[in-house]
Amino acid sequence: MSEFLANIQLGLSTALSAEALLFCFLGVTVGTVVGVLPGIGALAAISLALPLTYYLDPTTALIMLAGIFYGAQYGGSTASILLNLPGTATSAITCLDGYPLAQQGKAPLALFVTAINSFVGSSFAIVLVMGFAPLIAGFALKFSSTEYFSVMLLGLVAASTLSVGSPFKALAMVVFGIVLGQVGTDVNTGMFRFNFGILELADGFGLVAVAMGLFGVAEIMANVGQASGAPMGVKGMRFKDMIPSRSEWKEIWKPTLRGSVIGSFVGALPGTGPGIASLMAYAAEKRLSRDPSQFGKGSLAGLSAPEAANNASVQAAFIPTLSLGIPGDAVVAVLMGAMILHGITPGPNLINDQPAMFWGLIMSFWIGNLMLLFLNIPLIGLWVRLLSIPYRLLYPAIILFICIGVYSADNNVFDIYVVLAFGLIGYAMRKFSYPATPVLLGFILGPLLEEHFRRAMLLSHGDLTIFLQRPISLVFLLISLMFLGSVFMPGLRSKLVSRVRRNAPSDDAD
Amino acid sequence: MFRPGPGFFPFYIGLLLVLLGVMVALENRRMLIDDSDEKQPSGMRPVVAISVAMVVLALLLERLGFVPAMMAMFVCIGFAERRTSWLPLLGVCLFMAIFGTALFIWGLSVPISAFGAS
Repeated sequence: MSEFLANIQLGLSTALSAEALLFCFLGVTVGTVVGVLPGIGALAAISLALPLTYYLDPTTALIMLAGIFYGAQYGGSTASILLNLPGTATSAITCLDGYPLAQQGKAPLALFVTAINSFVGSSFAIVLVMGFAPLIAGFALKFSSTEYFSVMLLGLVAASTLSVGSPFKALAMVVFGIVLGQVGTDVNTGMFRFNFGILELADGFGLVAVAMGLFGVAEIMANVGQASGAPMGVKGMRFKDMIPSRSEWKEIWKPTLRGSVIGSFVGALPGTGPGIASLMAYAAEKRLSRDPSQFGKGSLAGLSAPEAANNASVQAAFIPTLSLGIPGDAVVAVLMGAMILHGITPGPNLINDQPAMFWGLIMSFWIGNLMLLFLNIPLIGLWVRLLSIPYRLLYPAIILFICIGVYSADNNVFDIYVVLAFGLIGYAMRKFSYPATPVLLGFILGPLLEEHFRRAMLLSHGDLTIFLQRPISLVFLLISLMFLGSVFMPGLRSKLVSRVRRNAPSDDAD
Repeated sequence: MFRPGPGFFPFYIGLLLVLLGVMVALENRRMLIDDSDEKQPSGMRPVVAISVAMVVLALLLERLGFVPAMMAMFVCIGFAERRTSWLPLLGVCLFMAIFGTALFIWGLSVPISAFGAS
């Protein structure tokens, strides 16, 4: 216990330094802005900010990038409620009951409730991260390459089979991502693979360029020319209108807690993110409700559960990332890429080797969430006004940022072409309903998967059955097989799918 | 002894991709899931305009400098939509010219010059 308190103290001393506080604030503010604005998500924002953090201390850099991530979850609900347009893809479910509430003139109430939901969901999950990440890391210290290969495989399979839409397309996209990850120099032999004689590809594709192409440029290409709504008139938002009444509090507290639990669980699974978490929380709430017909007409329960769930899942996604080195979802995958670029390998050793970083990051979550509560309740009017900036004036600036951002990562114009190419690929994928998130997971995990596979083969003297002989590895493989099997049992899936098809246009958890 | 070389993973990953491609094709034929894009098609116009804009920026950035390159890019982007209000776009362009120069070149010392080759 005293050790735990010492760790918390260490974390606080890191997270409360002036530099950490400043960048945490910067991160959550940027996160809120990109969350509020439809058309740019956390992923594009983090990739954009990534080159800017090269000059920072790695812990500070992570604190800021993580702040963008969870900050965007707070902001995302604003556009959902006021515009019926998800600010981030993960808050699509929030539209269902948030927009009807706004139509009934209860927008201030809805905005207040989602801020509270977000805070409760996050807090719940942060407590879990503090408890479970060190525990799992301790367990994972015994892992060899064999177990790592299996658990990564599980992560990739879970990510693609637990998504909305065709599981085969998602699986194919994971594999496509792995192929992209193989471009460049083979680490073991130094041989070039898939570089087609292009010198710039000797180091492979840059993570920033791939992520910004698939998520940033593709998103813009798809959005330009689409009609955008005008925000509901929320003039003179008074604090009095925001506070729920006693009976409304009663209506929201249970769904919020249930959403937090579901979100934390889904988020902690490697590979599954906030999109699926909020969906599951909504479905569960509807089933538990005494009056399901209220859902979709402005039910506070239907607003609270998914909103708590997506925030909880975002924080819980740090459990597998920080303890195993396996990202909980695509955005955390980019964060993991950022850690690697800063020379830190996420994995079970992280907590012991870099306690100041681990506990500092966790404590910064608390601080960041408190800041977000402040940003999203007293200052909400500011963000609402932000929504009135027309998209057609915003996106040229975003494209310019993306181009100069990738250029600055390596000072090479070639990367601008790479980003454009992935933008076009991402646009085509969107048109034909291929999810982009699995590509990124495959791209980041693929090289690790291969390395662990080859190392396992060296250790076992080429015996492929090693993966089945080691019990932990066997369990991971069996769970993967179970997920794969679920693909062929369409009963459960089709239910989920048909529900989503009516409600949310896409599930690319960005 | 079985020792996977640099070609092992690409080969089997390739096979897997082919297999999954067949599965997707089969699934589409049986129409298990209808996931055609329901959003209205926005056409190819924005895609082409944005692509051209990015290529123009890439071509000019190191030759003419940041400001001329980004201005040329904004002109191309102006053609992304059928009816563009050029005046507000010019405003954004001028703002980004100043803000971008301050942020990227002075602030983050990205090695490009505002005007002229770098």
